[in-house]
Amino acid sequence: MIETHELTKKYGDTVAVDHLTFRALPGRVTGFLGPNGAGKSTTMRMILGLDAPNSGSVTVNGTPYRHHHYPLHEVGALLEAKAIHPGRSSYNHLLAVAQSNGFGPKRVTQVLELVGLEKVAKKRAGAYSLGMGQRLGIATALLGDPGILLLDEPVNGLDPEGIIWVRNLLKALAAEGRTVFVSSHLMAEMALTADHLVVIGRGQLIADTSVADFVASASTGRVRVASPDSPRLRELIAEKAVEVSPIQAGESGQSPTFTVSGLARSAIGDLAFHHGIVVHELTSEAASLEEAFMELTAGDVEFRAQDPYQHTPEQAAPAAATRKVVAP
Amino acid sequence: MSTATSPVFVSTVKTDHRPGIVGVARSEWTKIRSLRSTFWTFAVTAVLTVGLGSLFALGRTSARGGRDAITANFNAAGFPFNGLFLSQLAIGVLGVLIITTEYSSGMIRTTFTAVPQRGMVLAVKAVIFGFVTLVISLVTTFVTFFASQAILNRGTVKYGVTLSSPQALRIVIGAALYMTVCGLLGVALGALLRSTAAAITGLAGLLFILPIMMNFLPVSWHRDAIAQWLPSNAGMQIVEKVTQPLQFSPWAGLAVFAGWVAVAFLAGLVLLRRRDV
Repeated sequence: MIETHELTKKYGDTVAVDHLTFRALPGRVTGFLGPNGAGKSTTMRMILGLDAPNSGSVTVNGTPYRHHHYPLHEVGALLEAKAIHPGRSSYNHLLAVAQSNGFGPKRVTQVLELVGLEKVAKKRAGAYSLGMGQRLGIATALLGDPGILLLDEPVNGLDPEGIIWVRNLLKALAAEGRTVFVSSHLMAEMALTADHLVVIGRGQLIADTSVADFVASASTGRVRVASPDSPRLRELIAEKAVEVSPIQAGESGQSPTFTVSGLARSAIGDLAFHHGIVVHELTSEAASLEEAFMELTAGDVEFRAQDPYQHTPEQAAPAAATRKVVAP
Repeated sequence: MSTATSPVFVSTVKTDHRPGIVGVARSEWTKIRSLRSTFWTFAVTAVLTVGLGSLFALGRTSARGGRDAITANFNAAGFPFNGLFLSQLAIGVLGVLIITTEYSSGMIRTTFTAVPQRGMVLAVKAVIFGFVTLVISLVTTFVTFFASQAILNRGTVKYGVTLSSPQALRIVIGAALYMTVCGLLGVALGALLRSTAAAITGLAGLLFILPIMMNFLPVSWHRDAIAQWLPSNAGMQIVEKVTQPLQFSPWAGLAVFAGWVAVAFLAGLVLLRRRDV
């Protein structure tokens, strides 16, 4: 388990991490989400004892990182891909890291096979692609077979096959009861990988929630309807619903469509059936997860002070003015 | 959420030996031996030392060489080690690189994540590198000695000396110690400044440029009394046969040089513990 309490880091007048309190629990993948510059990497360095916080505290398995005798056995970390001397082979790189914590060549060979680098293990790392560098970084993190994994943007630079591999690996590691803490600025990737989300913006905690709740919060409550008899159906719905959009002509032989707010999908279906109207499509429109994410990280005080998931569809629609604030 | 039902993780991978200082020593040895650039830099250092030593011996004994005649005070054992003025930079740069390349590549974060005792890592790194440098330097200075003495003995007048001559053994071993301290100065500067360019500039400034600059200062500024304290001036007394006025004795000079390195090393150690990585 990773636990931070009121963790704060300042660089001069800039507050990089601002009274951050959260826990990453074992047995699940915790996604650490925030725009670039939100303070994710700084937080991760503080967890590992590399950067000293100005105030607040952070522990891994109940103890400050520096006090662990076999640190690699407790926490495996990937901070940046290709953090390796370009002239050294990945085998020797891993061996040097392993030896410092009492592991030998046997374990090095195991992790090389695990990440699929055994064929290039003796080659100079300077010739590696970014994707191979990520695999080597993951191998380094796994050396001590740790109960906690801490990975900073592990899918950056990976090809689709590599992304799926990392996704499945992280899920498998969490299923073994490990704490998996993985940062990303890509909401969509986290929605597929993580069970739980810790979202930060400008160093502050914005959300600490399950992915399911986060996805639900991103739904707009709008329903898209397509019917050959759209004008009639729209009129019937307009009598009941709060808001109905103008009809849009269907593309190349498709039925015309419109969207409805304030009426459930099932109610629209029932209504159409009772009036004998053919319906070709009834879809709940979800706002893109990126939009929900950007809205959350816009640094709006309103969303931070209260439960961020009680906002109405109007608020959820990202306004251009608040979007600009997202930029770090 | 599956927290309640998920298994408690228990690692099955066991360590082969205890971590701690021995593990860190193995790790640092692996880092040093696994780079081709380490071999090349040691090779350049050795070739420069032996080559320049032989060249100087050749020049000093050539028919037209040397304006002043070779006297009884001629430092036959120490003279060839004037070549150290160049090779000291090569070995110092290697000392710089073993630490600054960890910073430039980001490896340093992995190193300090694996071993959070940063001071211990730096100390072990310096000891391992210092030991390897001392062994290679000893081989180099003995080869330099025998090669240069053979050249000094090539004419009808034998200027060369043997290891049993007064001061000769001290000079040959002392030259290797001087090279080792140069390498350690590089490590200390690397830890202190973290950037390759800055540390190499500092190294060249201390060992090379400062002594030259000193020669251009007015004598009335007690220039010579100050100059004896400069790292390379003090350290190079170890290869002198006769101690000149306003110079340290051989071992005192080497100790002054080592003191410079110790100060830089301690400063690097203090900053290393305080700074974010």
